[in-house]
Amino acid sequence: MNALINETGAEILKAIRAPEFLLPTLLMPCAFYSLFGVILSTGNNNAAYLLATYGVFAVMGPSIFGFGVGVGNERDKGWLQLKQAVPAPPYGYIVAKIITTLLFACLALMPIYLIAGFFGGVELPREIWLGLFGIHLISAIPFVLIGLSLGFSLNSGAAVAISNIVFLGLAILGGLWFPVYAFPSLMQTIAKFTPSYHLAELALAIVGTGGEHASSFNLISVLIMSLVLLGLAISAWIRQR
Amino acid sequence: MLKNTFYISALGTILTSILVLSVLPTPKESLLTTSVESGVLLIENATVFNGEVFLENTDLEIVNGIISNMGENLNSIATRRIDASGKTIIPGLIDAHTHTLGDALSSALNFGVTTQLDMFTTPSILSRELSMRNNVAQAEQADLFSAGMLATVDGGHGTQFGVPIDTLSSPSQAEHWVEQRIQEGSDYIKLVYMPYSDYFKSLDRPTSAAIIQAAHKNGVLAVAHVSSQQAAKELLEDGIDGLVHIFADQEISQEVLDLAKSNDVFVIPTLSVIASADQSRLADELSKDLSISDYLQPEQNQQLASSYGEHKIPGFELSTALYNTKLLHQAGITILAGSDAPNPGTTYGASIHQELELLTQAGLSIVEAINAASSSVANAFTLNSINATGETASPRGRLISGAKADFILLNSSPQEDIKATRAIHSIYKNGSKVERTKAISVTQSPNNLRLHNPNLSNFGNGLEAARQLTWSPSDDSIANGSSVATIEIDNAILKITAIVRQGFMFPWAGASLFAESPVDISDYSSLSFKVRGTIGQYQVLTFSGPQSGPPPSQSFKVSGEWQTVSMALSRFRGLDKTQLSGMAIVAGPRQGEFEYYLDDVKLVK
Repeated sequence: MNALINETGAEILKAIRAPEFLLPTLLMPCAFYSLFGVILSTGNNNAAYLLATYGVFAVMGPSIFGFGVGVGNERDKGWLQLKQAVPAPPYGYIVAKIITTLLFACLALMPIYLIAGFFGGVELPREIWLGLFGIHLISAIPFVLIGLSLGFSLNSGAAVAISNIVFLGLAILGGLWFPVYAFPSLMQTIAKFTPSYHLAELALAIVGTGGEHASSFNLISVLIMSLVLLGLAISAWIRQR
Repeated sequence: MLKNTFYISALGTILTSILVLSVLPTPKESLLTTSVESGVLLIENATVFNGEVFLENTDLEIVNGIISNMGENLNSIATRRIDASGKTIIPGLIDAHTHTLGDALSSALNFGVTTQLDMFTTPSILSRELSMRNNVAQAEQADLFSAGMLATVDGGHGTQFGVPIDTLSSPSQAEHWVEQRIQEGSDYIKLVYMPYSDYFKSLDRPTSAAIIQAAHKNGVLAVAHVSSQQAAKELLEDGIDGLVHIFADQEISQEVLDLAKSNDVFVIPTLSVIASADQSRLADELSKDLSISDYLQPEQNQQLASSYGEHKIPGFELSTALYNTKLLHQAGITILAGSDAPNPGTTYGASIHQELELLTQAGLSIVEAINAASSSVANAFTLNSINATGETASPRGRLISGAKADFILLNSSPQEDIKATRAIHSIYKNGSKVERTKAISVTQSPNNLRLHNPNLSNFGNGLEAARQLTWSPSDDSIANGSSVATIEIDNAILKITAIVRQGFMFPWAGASLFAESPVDISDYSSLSFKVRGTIGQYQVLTFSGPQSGPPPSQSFKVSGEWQTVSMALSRFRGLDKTQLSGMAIVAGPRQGEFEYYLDDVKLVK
């Protein structure tokens, strides 16, 4: 436990000391949401609709980059190998990163919520706000797993590039920036195979603009995708050893 | 040190999150009516027409867009209560025949139409609009069900609007065609079968029969546009599920009545649009009805004012249409209410109230007429509503526990007079009160320059006509069409080269005369000009005030010889003479290449 807390503290410290990596992932969703959700928004329901999807987007940044790029980097420097030799629980490294990611996810979400509530005119019952927060935090799971798989299988240079592509791809295809129904039908079909799409649908169902599928379908899809990604992450972990 | 870093940041983040989540705004009670409905609403002491009978002293309890309970003196936990004593509640209306363009769905809702059935529109709108019908939070537009693209032949009815259509010509194409429509989201299949028309080509009988079969194979209904008894008879023999117009070329024969009866079909007579083709000008009465006109938008006024030219269209006798509808109804065939908006003389929402009146003239009782625009449509088309979680299907078109909370509060009961459906107290969509959009009060601007000089052309001196009026090329590329026009002055007359191409509903290309600011031409009664050029169909379009859809127009023919065309301004249905912004003398809507000359354009008192 002690080791875990120390490990997490170290992760946080590292993140704070390298703000050039962290700040963009925190600020970009916030800036995007202000622009598309509030300033350029025309319809009266847009701010709430986009709050649900941009929240997923906000969590995606720290999850994918923190792991994909972070792990890739540390592996390159031999840090991961060293870790395996120290007398600390082997999962500690991952758990510390997950806790750090969740903390940063909270920090990324709060300004978006504040902008939505006080500038976007989004008013939701308290339990809906909490539910939305919950689903946004849960969104971290599949993205963390994607980040891990990338970090374990790529060197740091490739991890940066691929993480970016995956990040943008999932954001756009999943309908986090523009609603999926605005896409051509082929893209709509592809969207259904991304976790971001199903997480966005779940978040939308919570704010009351339910999508085209039952929430149970979205939930099961996310679960299956997470399991597949977990398998992928484990096999990548084994291979890199 | 690391421990402290962890504790401080973890605690800080958690506290910040709790703080933020507890100060975020929550909806105030008064906003509930227009935003997401989370509370329970009770409407008390109304007379409720549930689809069968009028129930006195009835309460409706609504939760999450659905009628959760209904009955006398309900025990409800509702905090918001609306006293509706003296009011009659009927189901939200369903217009069974429309074409979705522009603000169709919000205009319809503005008059109590909560669900619209579309019988041909651009398939690209479907994925968005069809997904909206499952959204139980919205109260801004009617829900849509649609045929999407229609089945017709190259050069057939439907192709004249310039919307690209995937036409078909042989039975072997039918199955693939129908599958494509279903992929696009079509809820049912509409085909155009008019083999006896003098104006249009038509699908042949084997192809139309194959389409009907393919639709049935895919588990969807096939409905058809017909305009003659013979065509209707053949379709009935081939298994059509419904006719979306009544034919009015002949009085219905016993044979066709028997066929319709034994096949259990439904008929959407669309008497409003037949009345318009018959030049009955019933729409004028509608647009003067204060309970309607107070909510008509400018483009709706224009749609009601527009007409099918100046003459009755042969084969569209309103009296025959009424007679045929009456006999079908007496024979027990399901009659449904559809307006065919926005065809000339009809508009979204408002026209369904006129259709109800016409249906009672065709012998439907008042209860049957209301059902023809609610529960009967839902039954015939098996319209189900799927709520946000996709779990429950709640019926439309009737007011019972578990049904969609789409309904209208009327100021007086329609039991005596069907026109009572027009006097709407309030409209509820998904359990939320609809903010009705009022008509923009027409502030007559007397400041518009009165046009004193009647000469609109002075081609000897250039393209500038009278003060502030200038000629320029005009084509539908401003409306994303692909027609092109060029103009030049040739020996003191205006020469126009125009290529009219498919790409816009009402393609045009030619020359227009626009004013820098609107001018008042109420001193004049007609327009006259000289023209010669490529033989063909041409039109004069007029533009005034705010408008959408087709501008008021009249057509004329051109020959190789100079001729003088004269048109009464009053025949431009919907033209506001006090604020003319421009007019255009153009080729179209038929496609082709045109070259023509204009001279001596003037207004006559």
